[in-house]
Amino acid sequence: MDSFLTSRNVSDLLGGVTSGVIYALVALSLVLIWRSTRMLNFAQGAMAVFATYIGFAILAPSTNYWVSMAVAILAGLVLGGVTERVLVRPLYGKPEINPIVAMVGLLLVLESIAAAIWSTSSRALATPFSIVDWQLNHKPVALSPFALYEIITSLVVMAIVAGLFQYTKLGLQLRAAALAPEVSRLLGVRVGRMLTVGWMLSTAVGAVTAVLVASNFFTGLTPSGMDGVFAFGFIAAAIGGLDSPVGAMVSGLALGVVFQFVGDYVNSNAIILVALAMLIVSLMVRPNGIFTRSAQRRV
Amino acid sequence: MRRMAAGVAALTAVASAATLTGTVAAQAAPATPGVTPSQVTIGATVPLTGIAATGYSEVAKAANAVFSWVNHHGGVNGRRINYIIKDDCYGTPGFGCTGNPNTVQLTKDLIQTPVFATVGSLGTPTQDSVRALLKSAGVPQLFVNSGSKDWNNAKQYPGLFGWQTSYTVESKIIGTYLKAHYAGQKICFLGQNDDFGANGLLGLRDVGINPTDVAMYDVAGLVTGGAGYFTPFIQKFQSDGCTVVYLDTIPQATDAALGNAEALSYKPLWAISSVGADPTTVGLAFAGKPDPEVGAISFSYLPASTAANQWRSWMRKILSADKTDFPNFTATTPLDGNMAYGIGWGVAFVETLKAAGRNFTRASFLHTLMTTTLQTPALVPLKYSPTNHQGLTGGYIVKVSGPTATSVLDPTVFTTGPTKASKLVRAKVLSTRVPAWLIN
Repeated sequence: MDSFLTSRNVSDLLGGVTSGVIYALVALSLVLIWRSTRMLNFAQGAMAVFATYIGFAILAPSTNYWVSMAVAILAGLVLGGVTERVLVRPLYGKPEINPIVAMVGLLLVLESIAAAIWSTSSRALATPFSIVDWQLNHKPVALSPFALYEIITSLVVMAIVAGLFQYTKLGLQLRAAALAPEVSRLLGVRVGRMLTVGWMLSTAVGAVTAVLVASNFFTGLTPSGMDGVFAFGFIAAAIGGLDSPVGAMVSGLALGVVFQFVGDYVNSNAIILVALAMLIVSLMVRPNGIFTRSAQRRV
Repeated sequence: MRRMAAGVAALTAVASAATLTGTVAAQAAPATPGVTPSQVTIGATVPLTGIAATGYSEVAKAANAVFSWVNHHGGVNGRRINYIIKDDCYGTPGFGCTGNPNTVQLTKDLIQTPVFATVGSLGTPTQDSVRALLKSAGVPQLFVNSGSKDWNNAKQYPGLFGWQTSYTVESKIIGTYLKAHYAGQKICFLGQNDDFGANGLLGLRDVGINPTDVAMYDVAGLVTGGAGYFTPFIQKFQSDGCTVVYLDTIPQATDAALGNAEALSYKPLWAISSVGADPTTVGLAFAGKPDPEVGAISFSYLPASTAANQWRSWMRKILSADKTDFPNFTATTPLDGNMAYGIGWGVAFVETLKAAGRNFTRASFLHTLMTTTLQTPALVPLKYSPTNHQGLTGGYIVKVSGPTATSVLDPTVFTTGPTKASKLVRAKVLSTRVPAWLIN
């Protein structure tokens, strides 16, 4: 049993899950916005990082980690809401290129503002748990207390979002507003408000993700720290289906695991190639995503 | 970034002014590009942002602190030094790069400016990519910040000069130390997959060390893969039982190696090239946690951070005086290895410029460089010649003694050549003092 847990394949699986949950969260965040407003939020990573800076850079470094995390989530809610009201709302019904340009623009602007205020040098975040892997018979299991915290936090966030959509009135309204805005409006759902809530939720999920990513000793917190993660999260969302939260999360997890095995058995340099190959194949075979049921998406 | 934009605007103004004064001065003496009666314009491409910016972004700025200091004290032979720093992100996009990763384009811009020379441009692959361009434009390429052997090729590139001790010489000296003090231990090697790693590995093999494992990493891979990119390398070192790991890595890659080992509870002795060992830089990633680099051995040709040395107090003085590039440098800020390194070649440049006299050309400047013994902070002599364009030729072994400190582990300074045949030679430790004209 011991040797099983420390074996190469189990190590790869655990390492893959640890990075996969992050891609899953990014993908979920993208899906939340796509479902409600049919927009690809290219600024997702930058908005998340900005919220993280507010939680971890404005407050004194000695501030309790959980307080900073809460502030970052709050900042994410506000930033998401303001972005929808101010920048996104005028874009509804405009040609599809408009929101893309606006979101890429927002990405650049937010990253530049963050760099101007907090500089591009990376800052290390305090982590509440050790990054040192647990050991069995002096051999490391590819899981540290921090990695476990990362996995649990991600699962909790996913569960909260799923529960909200499935079991609350707000969730029902959110779904209704996304799927049938005209009918919902006639039935008394305040569709505009629901769209704002969708952006708030998405950015708050993003903020949690960015905090977890920035806690990694290697990247730390930098204005563009989410760029790479965003790319993989985006691929996960595209493969899983932009309309399917479950699909996005499953494919995020799967990508993490696949990348880990590719890195170990083939070469770390092959990961990006495999990622792009998977994206191309999935777009050729199932352009709507593996987990999407409806085929009525406008393209 | 705003400062850069202002710099570009100022530069354009300077360039047009230079053209005007240039035409006037042309009647008196043949104009040297980049040189006016009141100013010498030089430039460099360096990673201010991106994967290699950690630590390295300070190097050219520290050299500029030397130039600012000199400018505030009347310049060199009546001329101010105007230093144009361009961000090429180590030629690698991503990881927060906000510059232009096209070193060739940026270098063309510098040639157009024009600059008298490029001074202190950083990186082996990046500078290799522009040496033919600079040669054809007749622009000297001075003090390239890299330990590759490529800079020592006087026949083909007469205007090309390195500065730091070459990677091969460095690893020969560290390797000799390892053989003497860690005989019989398994040694693993992780290096960058360019001249940096290749030349370093060559030096180890030259002194009889054959690493159990050799792993080479790719900078772009590090950008896309993050720290996880290094996990398989470090896992293999651990399972193969290496008790010593030699790193030819840039600081961000050193972090990735140390962090992965930390996660695996793997604690070998680290022997880290001077290029990737600066404690202050490497320690940034481990702020607030125990610094796994403490105890590592490394190499230096500059005074150790714990040494009492006239140069080091002078360095602190000029950095504190430079409120533009080092606004937060105070008496308690660690003077890290990148700053000392940049100041090292910054001093070499102003020393040469002074020795070249009031009237100089590119050719006469290079002649002065190759015939003068320069008084710099380095503990080994810096003496270029028509056949040696490498720069420093040796150094000594240091230990990372704290999160921001290095101390002398073996004070013997060795020099040696880049070939297997050339043996290590004990050198007299140079204790140059700060030249009087720089003190005031």
